[in-house]
Formats: sequence, structure tokens, C-alpha cells
Amino acid sequence: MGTARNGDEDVVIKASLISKYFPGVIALDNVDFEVRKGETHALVGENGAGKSTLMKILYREYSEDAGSLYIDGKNAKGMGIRQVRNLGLSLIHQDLNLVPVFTVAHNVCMGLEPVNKLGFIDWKELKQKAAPYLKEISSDIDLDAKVEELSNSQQQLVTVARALVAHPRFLILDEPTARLDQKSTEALFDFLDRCKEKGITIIYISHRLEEIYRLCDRITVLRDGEKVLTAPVQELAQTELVKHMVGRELKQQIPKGEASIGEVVFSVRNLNPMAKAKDISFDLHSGEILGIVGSIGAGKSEVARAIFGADRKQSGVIRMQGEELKIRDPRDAIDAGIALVPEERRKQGLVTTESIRKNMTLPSLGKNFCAGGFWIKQRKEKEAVAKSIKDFRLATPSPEQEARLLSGGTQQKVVIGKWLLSDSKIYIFDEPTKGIDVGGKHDIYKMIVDLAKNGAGVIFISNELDEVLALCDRTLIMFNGRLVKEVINKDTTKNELLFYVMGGKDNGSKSG
Amino acid sequence: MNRSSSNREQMRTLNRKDAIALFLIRYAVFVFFFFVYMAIAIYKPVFLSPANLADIMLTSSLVSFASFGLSIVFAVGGVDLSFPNIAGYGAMLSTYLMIEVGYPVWVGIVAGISVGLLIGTFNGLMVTRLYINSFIATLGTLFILRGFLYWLTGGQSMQILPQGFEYLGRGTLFNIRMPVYFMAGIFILCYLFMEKTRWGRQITLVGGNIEATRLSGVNIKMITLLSFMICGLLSPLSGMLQAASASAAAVDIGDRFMVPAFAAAMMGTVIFQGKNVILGTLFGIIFVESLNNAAFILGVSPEIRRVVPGIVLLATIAFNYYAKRALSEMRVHAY
Amino acid sequence: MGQKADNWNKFIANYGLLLAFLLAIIVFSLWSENFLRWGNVQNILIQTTSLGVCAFGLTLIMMMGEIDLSYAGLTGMIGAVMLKMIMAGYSPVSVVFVCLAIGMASGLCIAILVVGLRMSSFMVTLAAWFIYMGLERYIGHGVTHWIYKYDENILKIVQGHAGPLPVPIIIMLGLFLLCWLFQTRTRTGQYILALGENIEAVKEVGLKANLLKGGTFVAGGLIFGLTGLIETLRIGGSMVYSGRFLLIYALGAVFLGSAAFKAGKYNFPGTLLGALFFYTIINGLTLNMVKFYYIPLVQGLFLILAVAITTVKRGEIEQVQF
Repeated sequence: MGTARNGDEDVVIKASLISKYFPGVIALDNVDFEVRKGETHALVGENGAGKSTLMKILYREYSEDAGSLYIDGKNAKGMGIRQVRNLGLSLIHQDLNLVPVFTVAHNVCMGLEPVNKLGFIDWKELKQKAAPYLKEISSDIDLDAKVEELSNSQQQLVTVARALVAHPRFLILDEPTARLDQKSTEALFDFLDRCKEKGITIIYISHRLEEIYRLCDRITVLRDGEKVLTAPVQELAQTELVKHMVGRELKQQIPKGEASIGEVVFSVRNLNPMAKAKDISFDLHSGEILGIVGSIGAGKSEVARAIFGADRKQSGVIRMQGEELKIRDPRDAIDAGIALVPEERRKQGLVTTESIRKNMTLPSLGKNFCAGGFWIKQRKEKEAVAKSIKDFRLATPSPEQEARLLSGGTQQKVVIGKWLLSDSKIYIFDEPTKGIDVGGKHDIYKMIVDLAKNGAGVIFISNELDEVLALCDRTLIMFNGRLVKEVINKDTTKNELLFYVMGGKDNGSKSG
Repeated sequence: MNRSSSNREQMRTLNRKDAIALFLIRYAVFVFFFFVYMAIAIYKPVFLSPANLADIMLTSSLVSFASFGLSIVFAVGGVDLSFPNIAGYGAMLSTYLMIEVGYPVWVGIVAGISVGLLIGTFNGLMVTRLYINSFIATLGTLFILRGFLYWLTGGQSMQILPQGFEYLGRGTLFNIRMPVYFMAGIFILCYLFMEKTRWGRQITLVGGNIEATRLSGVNIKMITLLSFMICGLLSPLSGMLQAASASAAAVDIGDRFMVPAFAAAMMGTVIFQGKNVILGTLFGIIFVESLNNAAFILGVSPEIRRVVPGIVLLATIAFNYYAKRALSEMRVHAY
Repeated sequence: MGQKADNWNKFIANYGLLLAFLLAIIVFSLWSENFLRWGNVQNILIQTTSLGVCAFGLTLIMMMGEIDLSYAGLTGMIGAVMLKMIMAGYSPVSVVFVCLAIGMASGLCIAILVVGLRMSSFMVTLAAWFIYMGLERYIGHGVTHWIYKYDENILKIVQGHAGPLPVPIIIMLGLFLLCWLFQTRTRTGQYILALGENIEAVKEVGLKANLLKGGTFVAGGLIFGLTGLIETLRIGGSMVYSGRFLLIYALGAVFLGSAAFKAGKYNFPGTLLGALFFYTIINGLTLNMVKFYYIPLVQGLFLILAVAITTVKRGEIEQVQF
């Protein structure tokens, strides 16, 4: 609050009426954004709200289509990354943009390597140069190690050290904790506290409200490319903040009716995927929605992919109605009636250059739409797809529309629709609502609930505890590759889920 | 909100621009076709004479088989560089069996096609089992086959071919040469295969997104292998008919149509944005061959004419690039 | 025990190719006593020069995650241009200059198309190959001409000796040292490697990734121009489509090289070894009077095996981007 009365002269980053269009989409719509000297400013919003676009404009990876930008009093129009770095602006990306075959030291100093008289890189000096920066953030990373040998968490810390080499006065962090483990997160926070003491201005993008309240002074909320508000953090209650981000309250969105849970239809015993997860066992009942939660890297997707045969597995028994299934690749799983709605909709779920019709009938083409398994029965195919489009209320002018021209929500419905056409019994959803707008989410929840009502077994994997809490009947929590806890949803709270997701143990104190 | 509505307005105009671009992209090739033909026909009326058109059809048909096969490999996301030598080897083997060994014509033809199928299978297995990039794998095959070709023939050409075999290339029906009928037949078969059967559909989808198709239960290895096999099966037809129509088979018989067939298949893949590739390839073949014919009529020297297919190829790639970019920028969530 | 097996695997992955090369040398020297004579060794080295030079250019480009096939047509076209110039009586200096300039111009065009217009380097350079092949026929009319009939001076470039070594070998080894030091020791060289590993990392620290990429294409073009020059002088004339053979040799050498020293990564010592391996086998076979048609056969198999070594473990079908 102290900075507020100093008014405009303290503003070091001033973006006025910034607009950015991607053809057909308005990513930013006349956004005003001001950051004051020495403050830690949170930037929040749902996926697709425009946070990353705005940061990329600040860092000059993109140029704005309209509006003006002043950094430290200088007009940034026409500047490139190099110039803003020289102004003292550094960006820590959520993608790990490191060179895997280079050493840690080389990555930290990349672009500023010391050279000797011959113009050759002086490796010794390079290492000496990198050491203090890395030490700021971590003490247990070997400067000579190749980056590809480090864990995700360590790699993220290297990107922080790299940002420091430019001696930034302004530091932008784009979801830095998404890949960090507990210990590194603490180290990062300590480091950010020290930065604040030094008077470094920080812009902090995060989904995690606790972090924002822990670190930040002021907050700006974006929604659908527009700025909703800027306010001091203390004046904004968490619930109010969420309301601003989402636009309406989320909880009431999920149309969960009374579930009628039946027998065990599907069971997994001692499943060991090739990587990350270990010793996974659980049962699934018909009509049940089973949630699996855990932080990024906990091994949730690996479990789903191993069950479906998308990746090979080391060992494990999968039974469907008591019968053991031999699943070597997705074909076996599909024949057995298992469906996977994969995490990356565009990369793994759809052939985006092809029509809705061809996408929808792909898994069931031979089984349901071909004479003799070979000659496509076009009329039957068209009728079935037309019916699906009507049933799921797909927003498309025609079944021949290419999948890439659809909105995210509609695309996801096409992915779900293709499994409905192939008569699946078990559905695995891996982050089905990621990057989908509120309306689309609602429709997808409804489809999932309807599936369960019709007796299918549903496994629902997600990072969003709220949706898991509201949608699922029972939830499994994964931490570090293992199933650590099973809870019945109507007897639990978000805090309890979060406690286990963060690695809490039963006999320890529940701080929640 | 006022300022917001002005943005929405801007978005609509963007969409309108996109729509115009889309229209141009869809039909530019045909408009271009039309104007080129008009210009040439006005300048040299002989271009449109029946005899010349028949000539264009004949040269097109000889290239077409390899080109159809190649476009199917393109559709699955691969490249087959070995097709000129598959064609050459098929032709040399069949003529060798007919002339040097004295087998009947049909045995020679069956042998030529089978060896093509065999080589196609070999290519497909390298791509799907050893995971070699198809460009490299088929480049290797190209060289291996060259070795085999010389081994078989000692570098000699086959001069006098059996009558029955020559009829396939030189015979006429209603004043149209036989290879044109074969082209029509193979075109219909390939078209139906790609558009109306499960395997054809799966080939296209594998080419669109191999991972998504795998996760939808398609046997991607089998489908990829299949398309290389089809290319191997069809390529010898080009070689054999070329030999039959020229009454001679030389070792480098496939080299003549390497670049035209490649350019035509590339055009075919691009004209309808990756759909209807067989129809597109037919257009592509006729375009490349008629351009070559027009250059001949206009008196362009044969050396320069050799550059033409390469330039068509580059232009096609450039066109593809712009079409793709224009289309990808149209991610319009209007619904 | 596992540690030991691991180390052994690592050793084989890095030095297996070198061992195979030594094995081939031993086999050939037992098979034919002429094989290890200094004259023959020199012969192999001289034969390898144009391939080696070309493969260094290709390594540079493949290192940054792109490809350039234009050399397959460019070398032949440069040969045709050279003969035209020599026949017209231009001085050796201007001939050399024009060859290198053509190479750089070609690289620049590719850079503009690939970097500026973001077209696929595979397709662009494939088309360039076809176009250069056509231009070669246009310029040279598909006729083989011999240089010695017109100008013997320029041939001295490749026939001379510097100390005990013939000049071509010096050029190849010199270029090797230059490329190797440049790539492993200088900042720019390291950035080229970084481009191929993660281009976003290069962009993020404010380096001009596109300029770097374009520059590498131009440098590659220059090296391909040099290849055309050396190849034509080595043959002593312009042979029709001489570059087409280089296509497979150079790709083979680079892929094979990526299986040596730094397993799985393109590197210059590996490329040099790959190129030498290639010609050693051809030389060994020729020396033992193996029929000429076995040679393309061996080359094809060699390429496939070389690539299969690096890809067979991947387990994923690689598609081509158009």
C-alpha cells in the first residue's frame, strides 16, 4: 500500500491499451497494465486469458497490434529481446528453454560466454562466471553436469539462474512452480524474497492462489483477453479473486446427479509403467467416476497411457469383469472396450486436418462402418455422425468441417464422441478440460456424467481439484509415482485433497 | 463496450479476408491452369489439336502409375525416392525374362510387378521396423537397385521386344493408345481405394497425425507398410509401359520420369490440401506433362525443359506453404 | 556388474564405428597386399576429399536441425560452369571465385526460402537439387569435357603437394580442423548446435536465431561450392550428374558419423571417419577386382545400415514434413 500514493512516477512498466490479434482470435483486447518499482505484481487468469501473450509482448517475443509500451520510461516499440534484456528485463518461461547437451554452466551463461584471445570459449572462466548465479538459487546442482541429466525441478532452477546473468531489474516468472518440487519451491520463494529486498521488480504469473498471497503486493486479473481489475492483494479475498477470474462461480457448474454405482467392472493390479509411476492398484465400478489427482509429474498420465497400451508397461494385471486383458498396444485396449481421451487434444486426440466425420468414426471404422471390414458404408457413417452431432450439440456447420477449425470444447466433444461410437465401456479422461472455456467445460462435464449414468466406468484425471471434487465419486491421490490415498468425495474437502497432493502423510499433522 | 465492439468488427473483416484467401487457395491452381492453356493455345493453336492432346495423354499415362503410387506414400507421410529404379528394375526384369529367357509375356509382366511389390515391401519394412527415415531408406534402395540393374543386364539395353508386350504400349483402341486406358483404370482403382475403403482412409489419417491415429487403434505400421507396397506395385507399370511404348528398355528407363512424377505427386498432395490426392495427382501429371509439351511446341530447348518440372515442384511447395499458412491462420472459433 | 556392462555399452556406442573401421582395414590389408601401400592410402585420402568437404557442410546444417540436399545438384552444376569458364579462357582465380560465389548464392537463396519464408528445408533443397540438375544439363549440354585440353594451370591446385601430402588432402584436413574448432570452441559454433537442440533457448537469451540459421545455410552453400570445385578438379572434367553420387555418400558419412564418438549426435570427427570408411570400402573392393556393379549395391546397404544403427532403438516411425 505504501507505494500507491507515490503515483505515476513509480511506474516502471506501463502498457497502455495493448491489443493483440491472432487471426480469428483476440488474445488481448485493449489491456492496460502497470507495474510499480520494487513491487511484486501477480498476473492471474484462466488458461487462454492472455497472460502469457502479455508477457511475451513485454519480453518482445511478440509485438503488439495496437497500444503502447514503456519500460523504465523508454518506448519499447520496435525493440527486440536483446534490447529489453539490456534494459534489465528477464523472463523465466514455463517451458524449459534450455539446451540439453550443454552443461549447466554453459546454459546459465548462454549468450554471454567469455572468450579468450583466439575467440574460443574460455570454459574455466565460464564456470566461474556461472557459479555465483546458480548459488543464488540452488546449492546442489553440479555446474559441469549436462542439463539433460537433471530433473525437471533442477532444470527450472537453471532457467532462473540464467535469467540472473543479465542482472535484471525486472523479473517475469511464468508459472515457475509448476515443475518444482517442494524443496525447490521453498528455495525459489526465499530467492524471490531476497530479490524484493534488493528492489527488483517482479511480475509473477501463477495458478496457485496460496503463492500469490504469500508473495505478491498487487494483482491484475485477466479474463478472455480483457483486464478485469488491478488491486492490492490484501484487499481481495480468495473467493472474490476466483470469481473475477472465472466470471461466475465454478462449483454450481457441474451437473452431478445421483450416481448409481454398481459392481466392480475394471481392476488394475500392481501396474508398473515404464517411467514415473509404480505399483498402481485400484478398482473401478460401473457407473462410477473415479478421480485421479496429483501434481504435475506425479505419474497420472503414465498410468492412463500404460492401461491403454499407449506406452509399454513393465508389469501389471488389468482385468475387465474379472477377465484378464492382454494389452500390448491401443488396439487391444480398444477391442476390450477401453477408451482414452488423451491429454493433448490436438496432438494425440485428433487428426486436425481432417473432418469431424473422419475423426469420429476412426476407431470404429472397421467394426461398425465397413462392409467386410473394408468397404466403407458411407451412408451409415454419415447418419451416425449426424446423430452424434445432434446429440452432443456440436457447434459446427457441417460434419465435413475440419477439426482444427473448431473451438477447443467442440474438439474435445469430437474426441469423446469417437469413443461413444465405438461402444466403449471404460473411459479414461486425461485432463479433458485443459484450455477449454467455461461453457465448453460445462458440456464436457455433462457428457461425462451421462456416461456414468449409462453404466460406463469413468476414470477422470485432472490437476484441478475443484472439478475433481465436484465431479467424481471417489478420488485417488498420486504423489511421486505412487497412489498414496483414496478418499470418498462426499466425505472430503479440497484442503484434504491438497494436503495429500502436496505429499502430506497420514500420521503427520494436517495443516491443510 | 465501445472499444471492444470495434475489435470485434476488425475480427470480422479478418474473417472476410480469410474467406477470400481460402477461395483463392482452393481454386488458384485451376485459374492458373486455365490462363496458361489459353495463352499457349492462342500463341500456338496446334497445342489444342487432338493429336497433340493425345500425345499429352500418352506421356502423362506413362508417368501416372509411379505418380499415383508416390502420392499414396506422400499421403501416409513418407517419401519413396526409389521409384525410378523400381520402375527400371521391373521393366528390365520383365523384358529380360521375355527376351533372354523366353518366358511368355504374362510371366514377364507378373514378374516385373511382383519384384516391384517385393521392393516396396522392403522399403516399408525399413521404415516401420528399423525406423529409418523413409527418404534415407529409399535412397539406399535406389542405389542397391542400381547395382542389381547392372548385375542383371550388364548395362545393356533390350532392343527387340515381343509383339504382345509392345501392343500394351503401342496398341490403340478408338485411336487412343493403350497406356491411357491403363491410366484410367488404375486411377479409378486408386481413387476408390483411397476414398472409399478403410485402408485408404487410414492411410490419409496416419499422414495427418500418426500419434492420434495410433491412439485410435489403427495399426500404423501395417498402414505405412501398405502404402510403400502399393508404390512398389505401381511403379513397375510405368517402367514396363514406357519400354513397351518405346520398343526398347534401357537401364536408366526410370530416370526420365523421376522429377515429373515427383512434381506431379507433390502437386496432387497439395492441390486439395491433402485431400483427394489421387484426383489431384491426375491433375498434377497432366499439368506437368502439358507444360513440358507446351515448352516443346514453343521451341524451348530440351535442356531448359529439364528445369521445368523442378521449378513446378518448387512452385508447388511454395504454394503449399502459403496455403497452409493461410489456412492455419483461420482458426476461427465462429461457432 | 551392471556398471561394467553399462560402460561397455557406452564404449561400443562411442567407439564401435572406429573398431569396425580398423577391422575393415585389417581385412583389406590381408586380402590385398597393395592396400596399405602409401600410394594407395594417399589414393583413398584424395578420393575422400570432395566427399569429406561436402559432408562437413552437411554436418553443419544437420547439426542445426535442418537439411540441405542441394549439393547433389550444385556440385554438378558448378562443374559445368567451371568448364564453360575454362573453355572461355578465364583465369584460375576467377574460376575459383565464381565457384565459391555460386555456392554462397545458392545457400543464400535457400536461407531466404527456409528461414525467411519458413518453408521446409527438405522440400526446398530437394527442388533445388532437381533444378540444379536441369541447369547442369542446360549449361553443359550433358557432354563430358576434360580440363587438361584447355587449361592445365588450374589442375595444379589439386595436383600439387605441400610437403609430403597432396593439396586436396590438406584442404580436407584443414577444413575439418577449421569446422571442428569452430563448432566446439567458438560461441557461434556452439549456438549452431544449440539451434538444433532447442531453438527456443537460443531465442530466449536474445540471440538472433534466424540470422544464425541463415548464416549457416550460406556457410553450407560455400562449402558445397568448394566441393563442386574440388570434385571437378579431382575428376579432371565435368561428368554428367557427378553430384548425384555425392548425395548418398555424404548423407551416409554424416549419419554414420553420428554413430561415432558422440553417440547419436552429429559431430565432425565422426563425419570424417564416416567418409574415410566409405571410400576405404570402395577402394578395398575395387582393389580386389570386385565387379563394378557391386559398388552401388554396397553403398546402398552401407547407408541403410549406417542409419539403422542410430534409428533402430527409437521405436517410432519418422514422417517427412512437407
